[in-house]
Amino acid sequence: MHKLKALTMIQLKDFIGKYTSGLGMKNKYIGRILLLVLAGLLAVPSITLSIVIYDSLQIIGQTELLITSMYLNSVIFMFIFGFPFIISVFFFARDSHFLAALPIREDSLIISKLATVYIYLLVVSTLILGPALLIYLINSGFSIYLLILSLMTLILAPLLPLMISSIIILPFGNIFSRSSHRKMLVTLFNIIFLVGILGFQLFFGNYFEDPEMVQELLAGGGFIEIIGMNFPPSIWLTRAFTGSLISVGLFLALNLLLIFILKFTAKLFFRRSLLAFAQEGGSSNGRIYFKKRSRSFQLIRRNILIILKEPMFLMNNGIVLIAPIFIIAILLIQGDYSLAMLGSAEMESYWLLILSVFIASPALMGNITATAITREGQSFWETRVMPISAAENLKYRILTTIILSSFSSLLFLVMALFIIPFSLELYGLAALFSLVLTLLLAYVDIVINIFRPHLNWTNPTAAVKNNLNVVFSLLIRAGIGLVFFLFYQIFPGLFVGSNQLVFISTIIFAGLYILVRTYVYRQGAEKFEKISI
Amino acid sequence: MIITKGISKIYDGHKKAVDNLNMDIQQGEIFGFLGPNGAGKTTTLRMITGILAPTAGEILIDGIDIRKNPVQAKNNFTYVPDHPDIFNSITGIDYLNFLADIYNVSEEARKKRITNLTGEFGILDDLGKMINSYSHGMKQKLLISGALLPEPKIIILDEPLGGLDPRSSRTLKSLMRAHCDKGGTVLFSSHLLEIVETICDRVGIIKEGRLIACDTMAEIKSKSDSSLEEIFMELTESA
Repeated sequence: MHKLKALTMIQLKDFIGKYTSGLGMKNKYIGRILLLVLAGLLAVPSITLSIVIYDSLQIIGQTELLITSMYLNSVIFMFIFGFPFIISVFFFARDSHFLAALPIREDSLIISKLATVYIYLLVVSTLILGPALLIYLINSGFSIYLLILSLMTLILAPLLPLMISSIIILPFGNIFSRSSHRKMLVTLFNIIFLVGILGFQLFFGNYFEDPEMVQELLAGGGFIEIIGMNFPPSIWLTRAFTGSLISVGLFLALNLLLIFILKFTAKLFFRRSLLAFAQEGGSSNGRIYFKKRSRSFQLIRRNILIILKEPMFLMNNGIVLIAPIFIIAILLIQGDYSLAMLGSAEMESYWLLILSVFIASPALMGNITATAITREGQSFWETRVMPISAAENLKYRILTTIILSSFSSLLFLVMALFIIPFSLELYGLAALFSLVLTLLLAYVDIVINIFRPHLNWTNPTAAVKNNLNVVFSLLIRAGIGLVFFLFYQIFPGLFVGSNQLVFISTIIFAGLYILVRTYVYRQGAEKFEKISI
Repeated sequence: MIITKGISKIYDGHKKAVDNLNMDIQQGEIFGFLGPNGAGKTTTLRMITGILAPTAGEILIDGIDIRKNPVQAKNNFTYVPDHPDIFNSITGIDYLNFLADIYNVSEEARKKRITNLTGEFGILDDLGKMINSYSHGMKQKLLISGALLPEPKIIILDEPLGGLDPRSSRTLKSLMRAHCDKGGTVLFSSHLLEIVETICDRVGIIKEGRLIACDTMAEIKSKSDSSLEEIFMELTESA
């Protein structure tokens, strides 16, 4: 027990240390304040959603369903966040061999590693489920039973997705470890899994927010039963909140059962999957060539390969670049929108806006240059000692993003061409808007990374996910969107239709692009030269 | 070839890693840079190569200020770091071709040099493999081959002999000597005093960021009957 405690503590310290240094804040107090503000901002949608759902459920007199709904939401989000994190911690961490040599039981090693994932998921659960529990507690009148139950729910909530994810990963890790393309397979599996979870979330999301839908479901045999059939812990939890101690027991028993299953399979997990996966040897010998290529080709290739060859980077960038297609597909499947509706005459004045945003979505959702320097980690020195100017070094990082985003935008454009036959003029204007926005955002993001490079990461997740650069980059995008929305709302007369908005935006973005580009190659390049390793 | 004029490096406003370091490394010499752990050797080499910016002072590479004209200055040298942390999801030959393109080495020349260098280090047959399948020593050999490939005026190496087997260590020493005999310059740091003693024309000893001795091997040894190891111990303890 002493060894397990020591190991768990060191893993937790390592995780927290990596996470806080990954945030890249020199002043720890500002960093902490920023983290709290960020947590507050992240909790806002959850607070709003909980209030809306609570008000809807009050009409039908079943407010405890708020717990069902938000618990399910939090479980889904914990799967979304936890799955790649578990894969990263187990398969792509560099300490597997070091840990294997320690005189510690294999199940202890697994459990100590899972402790870091638990903390991560606890934060996710607190942000999503926490507000719902608080709202329910306030409205139901504080009682010791409810308070203890709420705390227990919050503490236990991460266990279920944590254990289920780990148990799912076990056989797959075992299968993948035998393949020479194991990292690629894990990435692919991860993407498919996340797309599935996200699809489930989008598909069922509407049921909880629409009181009519809830009533319809209730009439058809009871809402709790319908959900409960698919996911019994949510039904037990809901009944626990209405006072059923048996349900409390069932919920606790399930969590304990999963812990035991994991404990008994941990040995197999460690030997057959982790150690086998961590072996790097056995690379096949490729062709030896001596072909001369241009310097620009080599530098762009290097930046693209850094993304393609690191599963975590590939997954992260791949998802943001294809996510818009997936979201649109889900919206169409759900029936919220249809192609006929998009192509109708009433929507005509919005065609250019919709098309422009769709084609530009890879640039809007992806923020590849925000981590272009960070991604290199300890190998950053390589290009620093080469006879390449700072401006040139930055240029090829930015060009890499522009190539990847534009390739994705081009795919979207071709897709749109086949789906809705708008005029070529419309496609041309939308493509121009997309190109200008892609250029602007690629340059804006590199400024963030020049100011906040984080090269001392030991886990690729820290480079692209646990990184405030990504948050800053998304906030800038949200800010741009908000400015235009407010402008459109305050001065509606200035715009005849959305076409004018797109046209004016393109000009403004082009101006901003010239300004930011000038800054990057002057002051930005100087600052880049000063980045220490 | 390499001149440092009063360079200093202060971390976090108070930690002095290097303090007013003056060195003048001549063309055609092998200069050994010695010092205990944490003395400031790596920091100095990183400043000379432009990876770190000095807090004060000036660094001239073949007469070119590395801060003012970094690209021109960097055209004159290649660098091998103490840890072979390189982008390792590519093959060894990808890495060498990458360097050859950056330093503008012709196809004919790269073919000859890559074959010779990697042949001498015994990694020619492994060049088609991914670098992440290489051992520490193989990575080190690949980095050294890459540094020698462009035939630069100066080669800067930080603890280059650490991961090498005796045969490769000997190969490197003879390559360093051959490079200097052709008019090139080698600056390297090491803990291996017997190697420094046998191959260096001059040595610099650094302690707590300050250069406490800098002279030819003969001059240093003429002042004492002791071995370089004893002189090193004496200097680094008393300074």
